[in-house]
Amino acid sequence: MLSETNVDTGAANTIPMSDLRNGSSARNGSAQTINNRSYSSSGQSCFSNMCSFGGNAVLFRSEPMSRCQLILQSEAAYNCIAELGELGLVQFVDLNPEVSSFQRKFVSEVKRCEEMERKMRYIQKEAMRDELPIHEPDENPPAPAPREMTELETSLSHLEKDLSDVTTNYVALKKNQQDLLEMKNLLSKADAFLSESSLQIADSAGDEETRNTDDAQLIDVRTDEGFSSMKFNITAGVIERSKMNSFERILWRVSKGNVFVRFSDIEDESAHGALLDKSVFMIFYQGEALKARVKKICEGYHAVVYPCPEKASERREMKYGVNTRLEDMKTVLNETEIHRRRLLETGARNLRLWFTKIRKIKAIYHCLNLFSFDVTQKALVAECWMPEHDIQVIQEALQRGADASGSTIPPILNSVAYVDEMPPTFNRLNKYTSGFQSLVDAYGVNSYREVNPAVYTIATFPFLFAVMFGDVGHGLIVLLAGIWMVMQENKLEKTAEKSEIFGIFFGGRYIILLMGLFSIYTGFIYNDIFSKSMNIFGSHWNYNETFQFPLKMEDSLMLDPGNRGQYQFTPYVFGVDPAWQSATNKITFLNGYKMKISLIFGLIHMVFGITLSLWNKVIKRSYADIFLEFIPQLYFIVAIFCYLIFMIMFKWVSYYADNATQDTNVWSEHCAPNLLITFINMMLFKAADPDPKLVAICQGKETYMYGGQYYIQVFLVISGVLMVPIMLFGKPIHTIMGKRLIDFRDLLFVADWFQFTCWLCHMLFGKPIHTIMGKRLIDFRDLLFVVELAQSLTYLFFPLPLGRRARRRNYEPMADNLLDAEEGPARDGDTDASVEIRNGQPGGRSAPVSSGHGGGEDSFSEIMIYQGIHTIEYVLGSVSHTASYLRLWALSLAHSQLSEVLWSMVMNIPLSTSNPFVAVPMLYVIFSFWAVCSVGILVVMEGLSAFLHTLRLHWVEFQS
Amino acid sequence: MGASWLPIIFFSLIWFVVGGIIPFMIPKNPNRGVLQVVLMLTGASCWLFWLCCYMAQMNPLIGPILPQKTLFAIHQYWNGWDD
Repeated sequence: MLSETNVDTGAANTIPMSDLRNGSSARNGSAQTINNRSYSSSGQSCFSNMCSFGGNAVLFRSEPMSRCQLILQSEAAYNCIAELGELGLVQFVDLNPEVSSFQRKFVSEVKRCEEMERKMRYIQKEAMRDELPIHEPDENPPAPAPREMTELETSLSHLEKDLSDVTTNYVALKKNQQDLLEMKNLLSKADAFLSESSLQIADSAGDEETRNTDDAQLIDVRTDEGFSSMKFNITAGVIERSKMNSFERILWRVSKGNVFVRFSDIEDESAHGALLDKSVFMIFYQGEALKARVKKICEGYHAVVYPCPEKASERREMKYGVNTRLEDMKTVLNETEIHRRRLLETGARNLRLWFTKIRKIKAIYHCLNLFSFDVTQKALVAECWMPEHDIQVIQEALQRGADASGSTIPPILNSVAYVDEMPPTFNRLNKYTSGFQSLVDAYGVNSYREVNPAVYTIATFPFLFAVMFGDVGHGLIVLLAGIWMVMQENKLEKTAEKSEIFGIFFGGRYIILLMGLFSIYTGFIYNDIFSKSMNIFGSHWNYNETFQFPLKMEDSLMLDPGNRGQYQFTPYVFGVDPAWQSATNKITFLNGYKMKISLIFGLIHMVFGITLSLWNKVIKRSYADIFLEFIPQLYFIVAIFCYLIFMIMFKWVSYYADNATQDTNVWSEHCAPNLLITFINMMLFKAADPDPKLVAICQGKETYMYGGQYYIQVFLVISGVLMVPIMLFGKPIHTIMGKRLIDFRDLLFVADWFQFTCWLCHMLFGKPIHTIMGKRLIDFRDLLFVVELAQSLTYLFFPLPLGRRARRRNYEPMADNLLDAEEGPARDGDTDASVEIRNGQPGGRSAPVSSGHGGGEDSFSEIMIYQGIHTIEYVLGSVSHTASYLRLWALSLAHSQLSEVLWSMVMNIPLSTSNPFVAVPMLYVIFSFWAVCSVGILVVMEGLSAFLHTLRLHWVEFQS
Repeated sequence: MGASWLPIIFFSLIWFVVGGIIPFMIPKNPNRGVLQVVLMLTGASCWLFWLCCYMAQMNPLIGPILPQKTLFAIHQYWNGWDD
C-alpha cells in the first residue's frame, strides 16, 4: 500500500520460452500475485524498512543489487519462499535452464494447482450464471502450508463433483420437464383439432379439388368413400416455429397433397424459454406408406412426435398422468435448485480466498522449480538477485520461514562475488512515483544503475502537458478530478481493479493532479480561462482618443506600440496582456510567441536529456564516451540550435517601437530581422543582402543584430558540423586504439617500428636534411635517442608478462563498456545488438550474453555501423526533434482556438440575445451544452491528446 | 528597454524561493532528493515560462487590432492608467 516494489522480474531471462503452459502461466502468476499482495499487506513492513535504510538517493538510479546464493533445507524451502514472496524483493535465477519444464522437480504440484484452478473457474462460471455475488475478502491469506493444499484439493474436488452432478441432473430434469410440458400442451390442443377436424377436412378437400385438377383420380376415390367412413392416421408432435412453413411445404409435396396439417402455437403461461418458440402440429393422413414418410420428415425436422390417442377419454387420462408427473417434477426441480444454490454459495464465499491461496502455492512451487538440489539431495540451492539494502530484511524473512517449518538448520545466505550477468533493474517506488515510473518503463526499462529519467519526468511531464493544455478553467477541472481521485483513494481502489479504463486514470492520479496544477499556471500565463481573459493587473494597452459615434464594429484599429498614449512601454506583469484576447490579430501574436517558447522549451528539454546521459557515463567511468560522444553532441546542439534561442531572446529584448525616435533609431521595429531567414542564411553561409531602403535608418541592424554576427555564425556552423566526424569516428577509432595501446606488445612493436623508420630516415635523409636545416630544429639523432629512452623505459616498467595480463584484464570490460554504451542509443532504434546485452530486461530480450565478447576484428565493423547509425540518428534527430517540439506550439494554439470557437459558437448565442425572457432559459440550456462540450471535448479529448504528445516528447525526444 | 524591474525581480524571487530555497528546507526523508529535484525543475521551468512571456511582450512590434466597440469598452471600463 505504501510502498510498491518494482522488481523487474526478468521472466524471459529465467524461463525458457518453450515452456509448457503450466510453467509460464505459473511464472506470471508468481510475479504478479506475490507482488500484488505485497502492496497491500506486507507493504507496511516494506515501508518501514525503507525508512530505516533510507536517506540515500532513491529513484535517481536503480538500487544496487547483489547476487546471492541461498541454501535451504528441503523441508523449510516452501515456507521460506512463501515469506520471501510476501516481501517481493527477490528475483530468482533459473539454475537449471537445460531442464525442460516438464521434467522439473515440482511439476506435479504445479499441475495440481492448475487443476484446482480449473475447478474453481468452473465453480465461478456456474456461480456467475446463477448471478450469485462472489465474495471479495479484504484480508490477504498467507500462503497455505503444503498440508493445507491437500485439504483444499479434496474439498474442491468434492465441491466440483457435487456441483457437476447436480448440474447434469438439473439439466436432465429440466429437459424432462420440458418434454412433459410439450406433451401437456399437445394434448390440450389435440382436443380442439380433433373436434373440428371433420369440418376442416371437408373444406380443405374442396380446396384441393380446385387446386389439383390433374390429380383427379385421387379426388374420385375420396368422394366415393365419403369422409365419415375414412380412417385417418394421426401423427402429433411439437416443432420449432421457424421451421413450420417449410415443414408443411415438404409434407405437402411428399404426399402430393394427401396430408392435412394443423398447427397451433403453444400459449401456455407456464411455458417459458425454448418452449415459447414451438408449435404443436397434428398431421392427418391415410395409409402406411405415408406414415413412414411422415415419420422420416418429422425426424428430419427434429420435430418431437408424441403419442396421441384418438379417443377423448384416453387423452383425458393421459393428460391427468402428465399433470401429476409435472407436479412431481416441479418439487424435484426445486429441491435440486436449492441444493445447487447452497453448493454454489459455499463456493462463491471462499472462491477469492482459494484463488489467492492457490496462486501463491503455484508461485512458490514455480520458484522451487528454479532451484537445484545439492549433492546430498537434502537441501535446495537457489541463486537470486536482491537489493543490497534489504539483505537484512530478507534474512529475517528466511528465519521466519525456517521457524514456521520447524526446521532446525537455519537457511544460509551467501553473496556470490562475480557474475557476468547484468543485474536486474530495481526502483523503489511509492504511490506518487509509481505512475511516472510506469510511464517511463512503458518505453523501456533502463539498465542497472543507469540514471532513472522518471525523477525528472515528475516535473517535466506535467509541465510540457500544461504548455499544450494551458487554460485555467480546464486545468481546474483536471485538478479537481485529480484531487477527487486522491481523496477517495481507498474507496476507488476496488473500482479501479475492476474497470480497466478507470484503472488507467486511477493509476495516474498524481500525474493528473500535477497536470492540473501546471495547467492552471500556464493558463494564467496564456491568460486563458475557458478562452476568456482576466484583467487582473491592469492592461498595459489603452486608448484615450475621442471616438466617432456611432461606433461601428467593422472599424478596427491597431493600437500603436510606439505611441505612449496607447502602450505603457512595459509589458503586462503576469502573462499575456488581456487586450490581445479580443484582438483580431491575436493569432498572429500568439503564433509567434508560442512557436518561440516551444522551441525554447524543447531545446532546453533536449539538452537536459543529453546532460543526463553524462551521469550514466560518469558512473560507468567511460570517459572516452564523454569526450567522444557527449561533448560533441552537446556542442552540436548548443552551437546550432541553442544559438537560435539566443537570437530569439536577443530580438525580443533589443528591437522596439517608439514613435518619438522612430527615424533615428537603429533598433526600431522596421529594422527587426526575420529570424527564420537569418537562420537559413546561417546554415547556407550566405551573407544577408540588406534592403537599400532600410540601410539608411537601420545601419545594418536589419540584417545582423550585432557586430561580427556573420563570422560567429559561420564559426558555429562549421565547428558544429565538425563534431559530426568526431561522433562518427571517435569511438570506433578509440576502441581500436584502446585495444592496441593496452596491448603492450603492440606498443613495443609500434616503438620498434618507429625506431626503425627513424633510423632508416636518418640513414637516408639525415645528412642532407641536417645540412639543409642546419642545427635549428630537429636533430634526428636526438629523436632517436628519445625513442630509445622510451623503449627502454617501457621494458623497464612493463615487462612482457604484465603486459599480457593487463591486456586480458582490460580487454573484456572494455568490450562490455563499449556494448553497454551502445545500448543506450540503440534502444529506440530497432537494432538487434542491444538485445544481446539487455538480457536483464523482461519480454523478448532474452538472448544470452555471448557474441559481445567475440572477435575484435569483425566487431569493429559492427561498432562502426552502430556508431554511424547513432550519429546519423542524432544529427537528423536533433533537427527533427527540434521540429517535433513545435507540437507544443501547434497543440496549445489548437487548444485555445478550440475553446474560443466553442465559446463563440455556443455561449455567444444566449449572451448576445437582448430579450431577457428568451436569453435566460436559453442560457440555462446552452450553458449545460457548453459545459458538457468543454469537459468532454476540451478537457478529456484534448487532454488525452496533449497527454499522448507529451508522452511522445518524453519517450522519443527526451529519452533518446 | 521596455522592462520594469519590479515584476521581474518579484517573480524571479518567487520562483527562486520555490526552486532554490524550499528544496533545502525539506526535512530529511527518503524522498527528499526526489522532492528537491521536482521543486527545482518546477521553479526553473515556471520561471522561464513566465520570463519568456514577459520578454515576448517587452518590446511589441505590433499592437492588438481591436474593433471600435471594444476600444470604447476598454476606454470606458479599463481606463486604468493615465500617461
